[in-house]
Amino acid sequence: MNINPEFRRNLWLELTPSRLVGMPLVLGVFFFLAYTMDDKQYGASVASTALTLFGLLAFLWGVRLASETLISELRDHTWDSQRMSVIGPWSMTWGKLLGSTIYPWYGALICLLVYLTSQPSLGLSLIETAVLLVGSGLLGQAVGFLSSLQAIRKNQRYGRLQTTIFLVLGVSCSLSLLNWPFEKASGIFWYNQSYRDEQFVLVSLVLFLAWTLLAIYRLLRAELQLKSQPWAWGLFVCFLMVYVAGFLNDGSMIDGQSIQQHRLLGAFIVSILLAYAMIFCESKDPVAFRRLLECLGRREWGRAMESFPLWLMTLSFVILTCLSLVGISFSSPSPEEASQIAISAMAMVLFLLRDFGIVLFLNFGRIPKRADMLTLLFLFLLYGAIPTILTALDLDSLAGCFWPVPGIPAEVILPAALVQTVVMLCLVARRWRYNLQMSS
Amino acid sequence: MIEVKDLVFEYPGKRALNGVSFRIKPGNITALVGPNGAGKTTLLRCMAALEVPLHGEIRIDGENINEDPRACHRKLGYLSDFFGLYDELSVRQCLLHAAASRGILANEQARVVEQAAIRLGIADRLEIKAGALSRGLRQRLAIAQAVVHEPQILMLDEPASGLDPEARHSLAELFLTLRDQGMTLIVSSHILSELDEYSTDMLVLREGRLLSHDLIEPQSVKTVSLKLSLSEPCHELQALLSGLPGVSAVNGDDSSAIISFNGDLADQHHLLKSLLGQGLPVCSFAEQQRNMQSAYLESVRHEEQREGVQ
Repeated sequence: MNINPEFRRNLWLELTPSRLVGMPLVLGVFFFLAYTMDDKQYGASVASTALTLFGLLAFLWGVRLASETLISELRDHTWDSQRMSVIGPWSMTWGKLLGSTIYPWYGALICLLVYLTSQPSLGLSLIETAVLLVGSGLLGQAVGFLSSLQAIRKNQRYGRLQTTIFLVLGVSCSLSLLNWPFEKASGIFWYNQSYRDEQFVLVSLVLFLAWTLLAIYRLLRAELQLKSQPWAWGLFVCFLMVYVAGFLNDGSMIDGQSIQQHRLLGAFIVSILLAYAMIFCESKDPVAFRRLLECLGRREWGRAMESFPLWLMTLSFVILTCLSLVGISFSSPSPEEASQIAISAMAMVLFLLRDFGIVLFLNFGRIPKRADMLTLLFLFLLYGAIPTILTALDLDSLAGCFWPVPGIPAEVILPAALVQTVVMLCLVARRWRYNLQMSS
Repeated sequence: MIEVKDLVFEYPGKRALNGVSFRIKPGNITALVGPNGAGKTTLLRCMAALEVPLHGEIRIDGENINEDPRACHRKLGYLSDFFGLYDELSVRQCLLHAAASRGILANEQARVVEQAAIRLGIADRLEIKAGALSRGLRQRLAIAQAVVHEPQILMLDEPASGLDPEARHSLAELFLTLRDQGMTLIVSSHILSELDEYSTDMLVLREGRLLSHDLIEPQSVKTVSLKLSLSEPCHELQALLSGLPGVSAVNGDDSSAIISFNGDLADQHHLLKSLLGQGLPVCSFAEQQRNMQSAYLESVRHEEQREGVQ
């Protein structure tokens, strides 16, 4: 039988006989300590120790190892040979994700067993508890792995700071879902339907885990030189817009039309956030843009889609939801409020385009490595420092020229945003032409 | 076997390869030479389907690698200049992993691992950890990993860097053995002397452009370069030499000349006798080896002259 080579390699590295013996011994010492300190009771104290150790092993150590698995391949110069292997992207996904974390999981599963057989305090059934804990651990590790993979695809740099960021991202994803059912007991109201907290969180956990694994699979496909089109990202954007919009069903908004508009606004904001996230996560390599433009010029649509930037694709969702918001405002029962939302949405799209212009302008410049950090600084100035100064000088309406503040008249905010956008896009076009001249 | 057509590769703000085209026949050991930053590594990475070029086409055994890079990977072995090994694994485990990840079936893996280890001379070290091997043996293990799936083409980027002279010599012998076993090799290096031992042809890259693709003449060919020096200048030297039998080209001045001469050692003796017979004050007469170094410098000089004319 052919075992997944990547998983087998990790087994060789991680599960040495001494480590296999060491883990239960160390955990046993902690459990025995908890047992003796709790008047020799196999109860709450042992359970809480087991839960804490599970968290440390699965959420901290596991996420750290998953985040570093690919980084260590790059650091040790072994990734090229992996890329030339015949291992498929799915085998690579689970071989790396489960293989690199197999040792923490070995310990974590012992802890889970002890927790479930002692005195579990989560208020869930044993199966639900096991699925929730294991699923959260896997999600955190998958997010850590995904973020490191995305960072590597963006630029081949890696450092301690980046690894820490991946770790924080992974742990926060695990804990955000894990905390949910234990703190709330009121049930979840989603698209006017009530669900049990645990039920909803478990389904959400499975869905987000599936999306994260799919994202890893897709990025590994690209790393392994397999061609793909960006349909998966499009589906994820739709999923997240629908998922988040489902929570916008405040009891005070009885009017169906208003709820519909607010849900659309929620979806719009989700698409904007995803567009911003993607433009900072993806590489803005001008050579890749040239390749894309040349494919489009030759009308090779399939090949163009293979290298189509996901932020650009997300932008199409932003524009579509914005147009829907504008359209819906005409039929709204409260046209004033609806038109205010539509104006804000249009201004947000223009500001988004301006910001993307800044990102591209700096990335097409001489020092693209620092371009994203520099963009963040500019955005801080545009959205934070300048409006604050203008507000302090009692020039509130001018502050609205730099970000979509509600209440600013359309005739001020829209032309101001449009001018900035056009200026930025002209600058990008100029720099693009300059780059073309330099390379030819 | 390998066909590269009008290859262009760009890094942001820099064109690393500019319209590179060449063909490599099966069974060749092609030396890829050029100064640092010439584009050697980029070219090899494009040929190994690890980088996607902006334009151009690379065909391996007729297959376009940009269309189906993974199919081409089966035919290729590649060793990068900064290769890596899994230091905590034993040599056997490293090779087993390489075999499995290159699609060798489980029941075949042990055999191909033994074969690769014997081929590379590391069969007696199979149970040693990779991290404990010397630089030369690490190099051998890395090559064994790259050839474990019996590729048709092996590409090596600066394989001899950091090796002692003895290890370099045994590496050269290894390349010749692999060539004799039917493999086509492309070896990049900027240390030309080491390539002399095994190369059949040479690609010269400079600033992303291919300056030349020269055949390195084997020793059996009768045309040799002879260097002639006179103790006193002779104005008719060039004309006199050109008229002699076997002389096909003459370069030099009134005091010395480099002659392309077609003939064996006895013919060389007759040539020298004839020169002395004509009263030329010959003070030295010797065969000049046209090695990689001279071929490379000739290409570079030729390019500089061409640029100067333009």
